[in-house]
Amino acid sequence: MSLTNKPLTRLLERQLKKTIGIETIDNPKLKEFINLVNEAYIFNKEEAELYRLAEDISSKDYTELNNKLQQKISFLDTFNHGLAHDIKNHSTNIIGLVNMLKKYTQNENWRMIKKIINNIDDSSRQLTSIVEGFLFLSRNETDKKEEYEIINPKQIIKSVNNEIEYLKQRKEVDITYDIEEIEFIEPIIKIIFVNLISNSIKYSKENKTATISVRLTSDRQNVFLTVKDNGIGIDLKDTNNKLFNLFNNSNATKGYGVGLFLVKKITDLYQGTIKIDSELNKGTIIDIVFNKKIEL
Amino acid sequence: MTPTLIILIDDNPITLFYNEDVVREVFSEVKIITYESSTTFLEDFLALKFSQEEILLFLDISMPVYSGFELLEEIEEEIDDLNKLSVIMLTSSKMKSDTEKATRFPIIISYIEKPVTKLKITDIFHNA
Repeated sequence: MSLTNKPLTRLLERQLKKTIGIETIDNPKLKEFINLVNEAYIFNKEEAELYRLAEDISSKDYTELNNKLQQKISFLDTFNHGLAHDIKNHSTNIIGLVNMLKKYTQNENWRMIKKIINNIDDSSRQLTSIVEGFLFLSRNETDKKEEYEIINPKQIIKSVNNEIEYLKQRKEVDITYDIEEIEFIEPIIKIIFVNLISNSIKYSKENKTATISVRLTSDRQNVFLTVKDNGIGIDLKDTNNKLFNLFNNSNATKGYGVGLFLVKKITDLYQGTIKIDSELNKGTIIDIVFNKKIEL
Repeated sequence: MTPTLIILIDDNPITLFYNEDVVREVFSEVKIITYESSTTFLEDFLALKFSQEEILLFLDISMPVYSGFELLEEIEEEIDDLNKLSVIMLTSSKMKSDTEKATRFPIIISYIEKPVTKLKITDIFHNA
């Protein structure tokens, strides 16, 4: 029999010799008995190991890990849903606008044609900016590591302004920038600012100038981003603080767009924290903090 | 049904621009008003701004502050007689939960998956 444990066998043999009063163990029955005890012992030990593993798995550490994983999965679900929803909306608009274009070119209504073209321009820009953000998120590991650079305040303001230019055409917008020169990953700053400012403009009050202040500062350890607006605000009680859960699979009715999801996803990915302060009809302040050196 | 006023609500101005054009083709004689904000519409509606009108409302489901369904809940709670209001819900993707929800509101006459087209609108009124 292969299931043996040498120290145990020796101990058993010694005890048997002593108790029964024999010199050697030749009796086949006794040999069989020793083997059986051995088997039982090993079986018992294996079972104990299984118990220990089972206990380990159900211990708090694993539960927490599982919960985190579950949260990640449900976030990803929500994110994908929101993303698909937004992409569908923009592409549907583009198809519709192209159909309109066909109609209005027949009767050569140039005023209308110009309007339609401007709208196609806007829709495709919005679509591209969503896809760009998504591409940034799905880069491979090597690309993620080589991006620290000195960010020039003028440069970042210019590139953010470029991306939101189309939104300013239909709305009175007043943006003040307070941007420090810092060393950080430029695309993160840009994507976060573009998405938050776009939201601030989209969800601004009707017939009122959208006043937005944008800040980028740092101290020895951290980088701070803040976007503050005077828009329609978000009812945080209503959404149970699950702002990023607004699109859940069964109830995609509260459309705050995919912008916030993208910001949340990028903040999570680069181990930052995000804080939202908002009041209905007053406005929203979003604060994001990153470590200056992120370990990826 | 012959509405005297058509109202379109969608938080995306481009969608609104396109939808208005399609709806105008079907109802060329009816006045059309658009709202980008469900809150502004709610204020006007509850102030009885349209109380004399026979309204056909094209209502987007996914909107901030008041979603399409939440807007209808508010309206039903505040106004007893909704005989003069008919609603067509608009959505970007057909979801069972939404169609089920829609059956709970008697004022919803139909449900359109975007893009809105002339055919989708005329279908509703031919079948009715």
